[in-house]
Amino acid sequence: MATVGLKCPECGSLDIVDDEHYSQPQLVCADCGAVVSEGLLTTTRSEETQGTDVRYSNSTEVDKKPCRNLINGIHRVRALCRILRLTFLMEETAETHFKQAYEHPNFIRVSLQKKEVLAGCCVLATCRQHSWPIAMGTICCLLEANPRLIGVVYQEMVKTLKIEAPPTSIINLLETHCQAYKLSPQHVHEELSESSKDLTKRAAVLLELAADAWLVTGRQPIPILTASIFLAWQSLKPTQTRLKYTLARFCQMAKVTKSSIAPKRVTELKEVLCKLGQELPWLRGDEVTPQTVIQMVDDILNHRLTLLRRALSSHEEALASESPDTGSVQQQGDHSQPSVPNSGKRSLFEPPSVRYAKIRRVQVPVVEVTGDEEISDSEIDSYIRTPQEIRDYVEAKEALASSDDEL
Amino acid sequence: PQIAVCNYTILYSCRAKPIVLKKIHVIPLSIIFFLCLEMKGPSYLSSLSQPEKDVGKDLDLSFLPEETSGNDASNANVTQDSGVFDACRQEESAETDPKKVAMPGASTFCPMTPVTPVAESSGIIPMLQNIVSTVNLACPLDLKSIALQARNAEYNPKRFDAVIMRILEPRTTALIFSSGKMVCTGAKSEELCHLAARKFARVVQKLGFPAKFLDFKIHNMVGSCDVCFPIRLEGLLLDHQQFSSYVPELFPGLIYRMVKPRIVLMIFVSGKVVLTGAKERREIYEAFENIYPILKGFRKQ
Repeated sequence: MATVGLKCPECGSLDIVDDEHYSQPQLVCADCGAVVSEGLLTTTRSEETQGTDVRYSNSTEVDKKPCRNLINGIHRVRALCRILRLTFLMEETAETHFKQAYEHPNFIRVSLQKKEVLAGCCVLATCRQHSWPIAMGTICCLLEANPRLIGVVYQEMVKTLKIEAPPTSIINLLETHCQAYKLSPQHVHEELSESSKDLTKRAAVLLELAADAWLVTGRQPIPILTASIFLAWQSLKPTQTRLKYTLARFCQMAKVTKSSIAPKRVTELKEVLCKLGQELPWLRGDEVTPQTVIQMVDDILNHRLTLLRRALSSHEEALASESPDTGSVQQQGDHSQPSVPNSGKRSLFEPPSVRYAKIRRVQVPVVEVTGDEEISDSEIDSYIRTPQEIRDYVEAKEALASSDDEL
Repeated sequence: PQIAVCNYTILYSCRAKPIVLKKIHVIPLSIIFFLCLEMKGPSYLSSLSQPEKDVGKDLDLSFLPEETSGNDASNANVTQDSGVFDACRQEESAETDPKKVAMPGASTFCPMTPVTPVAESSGIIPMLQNIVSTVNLACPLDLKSIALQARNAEYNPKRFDAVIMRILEPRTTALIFSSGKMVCTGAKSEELCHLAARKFARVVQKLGFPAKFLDFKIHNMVGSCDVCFPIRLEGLLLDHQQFSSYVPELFPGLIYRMVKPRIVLMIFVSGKVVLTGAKERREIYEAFENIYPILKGFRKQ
């Protein structure tokens, strides 16, 4: 019997066999001879070599022909290299890595999904080895795969192949990321266009400021890159048209993928700029709001070191004036473990995870226990069902099961 | 911890190569101090100011060669960076120098594991958050009947082939398998873990199975603490490349794999540190004492 369940349309028998008419595969009814279905007369070359009954891994082939998935993977690696416009040497390195990884016992039997991701990871590792700045997020977009999966496969691959792939710093990533933004005069309106070089320069300074203010450590790089490029673009020509653009609209215009985290980074970066902008002497203590700070970004960035110093000193003054009596308490607090972390020593810039610390569940004090104490019977009995409960439970389950059957 | 590491290396080198002993004319007299410390307890540190006269009577240091010259200058084995050792050397050299002391075999030498960690260096003691242990109940179990008779059990064979049982005091969870093996998690100390495992075994006993309590073993301990200052993870990665892994695209913390003791630490920018992979409590304390000076170096002023 060729296929279970196939019935002959002529006589209705279930006895269908695989038969071939010269080179054309056919399904024929054994009782009446009717042809149930037939295959193609011609086959492609790959089908002839690889579409066999015996699975390739079980075959006794002496010289290993590269399997179909390996060929597909190598094609994918080459395609990725061409999209990213990598050099020929890098393409070759990536191919070698992929072949090595694919044949390794760690990867030969993984799912097809992982093998697809492996191609991207090889390209990523090659780029890192040749100091070509590429973010993992870019590979993620190109492969349209889960970033977690990419991370797992990447780390396993690096461990298996024992290659040294130093991660790129965020400043290097900025330049390549900037080039993805289509803001030249031929793409957008004259007023909204900006040269890539100016944009990169301004964004690099903003990024450095963000790094100093603890906005970069421990976070995903791409949202902060997007945020700094957006603010750079707005501040280079702070006209009303540009200021009206939201981040989402900006990304749409520049033909870049939107990110849900980048708006938060924009807010944080604006806060930092406001803190520095407050110190500008010609404002004479006027309030600097996130809306008005963009116009001043130029001045802030040019004099940021001075402003930083002034901000730190004024912050210290504010702290000292706030708590003149608790100065002595602070000294005692230095020796014992502070109950509230960073209390009394709140610095000007703090990582956001410290500033907006999660409210922890109240820690129950650990009871001193020997581990060999007596266990009361009543406590154990409280964990066991009474016979009545068991009967009720069984009845309820049966009632549920029967109602499900009815449905 | 520094004391322990130092002591072990010297001791083992002495035991392994007795021939070499002759070349090492000077056994650092700080060893004698260490041994005193170990026998008398950490409070010994406070009595540094008074020179102890009867050190030699308590100790049995027969492994030391007969000629012990008080030549402090040629001390190659001990690092000189702690003030404690320098102070003691002055005091001890006068008393123990001419004495011939005998030391028994390592069987009577107990390892240096102070019960309370020496908190003077950092002032912070990591708190244990979770302990994973296993125990063998040594009888085949009918999981369906356990799930039916117990109030606090859940059993979904399609998802996972074990009963998940929880108790309220101490707040722990156990995975009970049909072979009779059990995994107990969620306790905050070794004693609580032991008590919880015994309670689970007692519940199983009451349900009608001849459960025993064999081979209780702790497999993993997790601790956490806060150093209370932000940390530059990029800098830490640059300096300790061979131990650290920091990929912000995948995980916000830096993963530091310490070699001795073999502990994995997750260090976050806020200053919180999670330590895991320990089989004993002192490994967590030791690991934290090792990492604290490194982290202090990356404190941004």
